[in-house]
Amino acid sequence: MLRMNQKLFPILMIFFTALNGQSKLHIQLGSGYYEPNLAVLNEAFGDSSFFSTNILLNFTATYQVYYNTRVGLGSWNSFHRLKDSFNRRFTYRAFILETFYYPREAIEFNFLLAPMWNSCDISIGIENTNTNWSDLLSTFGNTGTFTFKSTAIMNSSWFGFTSSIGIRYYIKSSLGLDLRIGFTKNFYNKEKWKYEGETIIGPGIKLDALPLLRLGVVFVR
Amino acid sequence: MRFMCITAIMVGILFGQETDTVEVHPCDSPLLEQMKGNEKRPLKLSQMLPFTINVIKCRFSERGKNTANIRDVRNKKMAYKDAQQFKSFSSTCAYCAAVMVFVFYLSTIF
Repeated sequence: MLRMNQKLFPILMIFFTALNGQSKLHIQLGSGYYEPNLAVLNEAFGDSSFFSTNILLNFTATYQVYYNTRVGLGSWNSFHRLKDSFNRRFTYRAFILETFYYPREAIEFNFLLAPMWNSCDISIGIENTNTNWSDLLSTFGNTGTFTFKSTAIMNSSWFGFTSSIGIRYYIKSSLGLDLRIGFTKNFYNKEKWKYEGETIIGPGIKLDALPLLRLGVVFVR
Repeated sequence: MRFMCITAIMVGILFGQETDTVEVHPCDSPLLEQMKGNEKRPLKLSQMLPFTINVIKCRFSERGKNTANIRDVRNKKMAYKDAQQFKSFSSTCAYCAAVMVFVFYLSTIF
């Protein structure tokens, strides 16, 4: 036990010193363009738009752990909201390993590899009436019918992978613009959807290999 | 009448005096000095607001802008110096990422 601690302590010390010595947190807000085939889904909803189909909103936080390396988390979201009807949301979550170098001052080339855990939620807000509830309220002297709201959700999660190469220009040492080109590979299976704990068949959308273009603003702390 | 005269003279004397204060630049504020260096002491709750105001005033003053510019140039140089070349395993990851993207786009063409 003592021997293990003797080894563990210096390793932990070196690890935390390396982390603290190069503390650089990069927060990125941006947008992405991709081309999924959501025809089945959009047909079922009876509505589609360029924004809901092809545009992703991105938030990424990475931490510089070595001279040329950052690790972190990224999230890309695609929304489709229909008034008084269905809501659809794709969430692509990436566990980022990113390496970079500066060919010139203020210009950075970066290379990203990231496994992903993605999900899709389809939900609808439902207004219900319940006689027991109405009866209970009427015993207290309330009249009329009372409704309550609930949400029905079906969802699916799948594994994915993304890779990209990009260029970043630092306007200031704490502010930069980031442009990337890459792809995402998704292992989506329409037979692995869940509704109220039951496995169901979901929409046959095509997400397997998607090109991706991203533009973002980076804040460095 | 006498009371009115005395009051008027008193108020006149009070307002006639020049205030004996020295204008301190926000960047030289004692609160900012207190928070600098290794032996920085925590601020009291009542000092938080004046400290924040001084920080903002200092940042937007000519001196603050110059300091920020100098710091910005220094940080850019340091970042460039640290990462102008790949070190250790990071180049392997970069090769992997670049090759994967390249192969993916080739596969979409052919």
